[in-house]
Amino acid sequence: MKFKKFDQHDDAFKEIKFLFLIVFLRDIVIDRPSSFIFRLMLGVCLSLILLNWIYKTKISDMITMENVQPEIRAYKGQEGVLRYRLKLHRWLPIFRGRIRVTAGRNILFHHEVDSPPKNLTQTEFIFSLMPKSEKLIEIPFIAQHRGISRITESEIIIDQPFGFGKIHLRAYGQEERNVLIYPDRFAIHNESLKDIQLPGFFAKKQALFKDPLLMIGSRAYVHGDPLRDIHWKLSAKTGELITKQYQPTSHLSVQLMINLRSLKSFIPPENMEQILEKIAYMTAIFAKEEIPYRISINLKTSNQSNRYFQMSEGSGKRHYRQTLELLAKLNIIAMTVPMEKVIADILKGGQLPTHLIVTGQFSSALMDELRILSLKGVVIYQLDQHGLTLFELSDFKQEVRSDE
Amino acid sequence: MDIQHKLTQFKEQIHKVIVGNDEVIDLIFISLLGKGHILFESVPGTGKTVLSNAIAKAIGGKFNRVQFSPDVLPSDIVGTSIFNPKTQDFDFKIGPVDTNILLADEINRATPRTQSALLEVMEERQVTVDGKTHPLPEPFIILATQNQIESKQGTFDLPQAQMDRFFMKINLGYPSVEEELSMLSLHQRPSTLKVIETVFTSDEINYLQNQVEKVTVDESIKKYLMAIVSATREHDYIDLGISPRGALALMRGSIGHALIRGRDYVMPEDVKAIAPYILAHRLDLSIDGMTLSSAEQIISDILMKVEVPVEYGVKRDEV
Repeated sequence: MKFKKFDQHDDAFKEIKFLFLIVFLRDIVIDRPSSFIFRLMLGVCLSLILLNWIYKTKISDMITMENVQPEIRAYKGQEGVLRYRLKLHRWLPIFRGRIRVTAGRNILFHHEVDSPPKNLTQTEFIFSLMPKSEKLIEIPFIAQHRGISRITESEIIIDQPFGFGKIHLRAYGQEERNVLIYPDRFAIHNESLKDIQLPGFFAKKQALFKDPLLMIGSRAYVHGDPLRDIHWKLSAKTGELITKQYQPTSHLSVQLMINLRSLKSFIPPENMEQILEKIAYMTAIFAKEEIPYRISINLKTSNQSNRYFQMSEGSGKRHYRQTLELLAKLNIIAMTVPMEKVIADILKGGQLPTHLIVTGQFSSALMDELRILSLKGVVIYQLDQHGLTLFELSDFKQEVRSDE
Repeated sequence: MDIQHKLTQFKEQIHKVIVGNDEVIDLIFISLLGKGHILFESVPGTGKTVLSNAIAKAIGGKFNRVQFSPDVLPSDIVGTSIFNPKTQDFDFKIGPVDTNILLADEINRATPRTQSALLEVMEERQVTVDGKTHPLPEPFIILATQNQIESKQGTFDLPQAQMDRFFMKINLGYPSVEEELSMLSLHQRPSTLKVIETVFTSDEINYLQNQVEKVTVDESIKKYLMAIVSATREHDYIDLGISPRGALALMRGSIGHALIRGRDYVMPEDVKAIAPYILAHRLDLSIDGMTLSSAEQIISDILMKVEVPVEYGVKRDEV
């Protein structure tokens, strides 16, 4: 369990110290001792200050706070909760303490303070803790924008139990927690993708090939079965020819190419967020159907060459989680490489996908590259804010002509 | 025989080659008491294989190791019938499973077919080839290692049915800075597993495993345990919850936890402490579960929500 120690910043006793100074100076200047009642009051004040001082010095060692969730994730628009476990280890209680949490503006706390710091969201939660007890504190929030919201500060403010000010306890170092906000795959505009049944796109696995490593059973020999598939050992045992059966496989893979560059400028295309939401939706379907996919983004990853970001091929739920993490962390305003370069690399790489989905607008240079891919049998789609469009070879010719 | 004393001896031996990881050693000892197989998972280089070797040495008995790769066949694991020209008959030659401790290194590099060959071996502790069943020696424990699933190249995820057969999955994280410093000092000179002495005899292990049957598990604890198991079957983020085999494992694990704490009765804290290690790898998460949470987090949430049984006359707030 990870516990955090707290530092403390004291702003208490300023008024009392000032009062003491006045009384002390008054006694010296007037040269007349104060009355018994006044001295009694001062004595009480002194005792309270002493008790407060003991409380203040001990409290920071007595309280610990644990982040219950190491990873917090939410889809855009979803509600979430930050959980902290506060634990008081010794015998001093805390009455009406406040925990103040500050985070990046990608999330919005439900009960936000009146004037939060700029570009941040801040909330306070009131709690009391009895000696040697613990409490689970839940701070609700709503995920506003795709991205990462860093919990910048967690602070505990405790009223001095005997009056005269507050104690501020701040976490040592920086908070290590981030809230990761995925693109909204449940967005209404993604409904447009539901009815689209593009040819071959959502096809079930076709048994084009068999995997010789994955033998799933055996059956009696039928005329025409290949010789290499005969299970000789079993045939010898049973006295009849037996044929091995293998797991059928198919080659169906999708390549997603995210273009962060507009047709006429280097800025990201309009509605990029919507496109990312559509990708989040589509890849969820791929994950469910176990269709392998990979992602390329024309995001420059090295200053010295035209290297761009690539996410290797994978399938299933775990791969989808990595996809969403990538989409959440993607900064769309970045240095880019030309999309043609990315397509050319696919051509050079040799292993072509069966389906290619390219986002954004197509330049004539990009069209030329896509045309070559299309001629090699790759099914190409364009993805924009309206949805998916299938590109036929004839479309390329027309587009190129109109571009010229 | 004092279980805690044996555990201390066991730790002493393991610490000769592995620094820290006290909690992990406790968990391994609990698995040993519960007759369970263990799956170690972590990033490469965190000492999975060394730890497994060390455990095997400390437990004693016969030890075999199989390095899994895509071309390892089921017959390489369980054995095969070989034609004997002298007798003009097939003789069965049992594979490396004929041992007390089997180290299955990088198990997820084997094909699903080979992984499946281990199913009967793990559950029933026997091998059936050509219709003949061959029982395996007692105790029989499989210590399997795998790199984290993220490293996809050339690996095959273990099927859920096989994950269920592992008593617990232990994630070996990176050691702390202090532990790593001690490790540097310890391994300044080449260390060898030869320094590890055997702590148990086979009879002692059987005796310890029999102690599990003598531990009291109150009806309220059993209900608590089942409430946790049921919660996993109804959770939104879980496609496939804990199986009855998982429920049994949780009880055995809780008993083991109570035993190493010197008790002959199980408390809710035993269930809570052991549940993440026994349950998390048995869950099949839904897409939302996988993307928004994790198996460990879901188990932690369930443990937080399920009502803990309290002793009669004790106020709930005092627990």
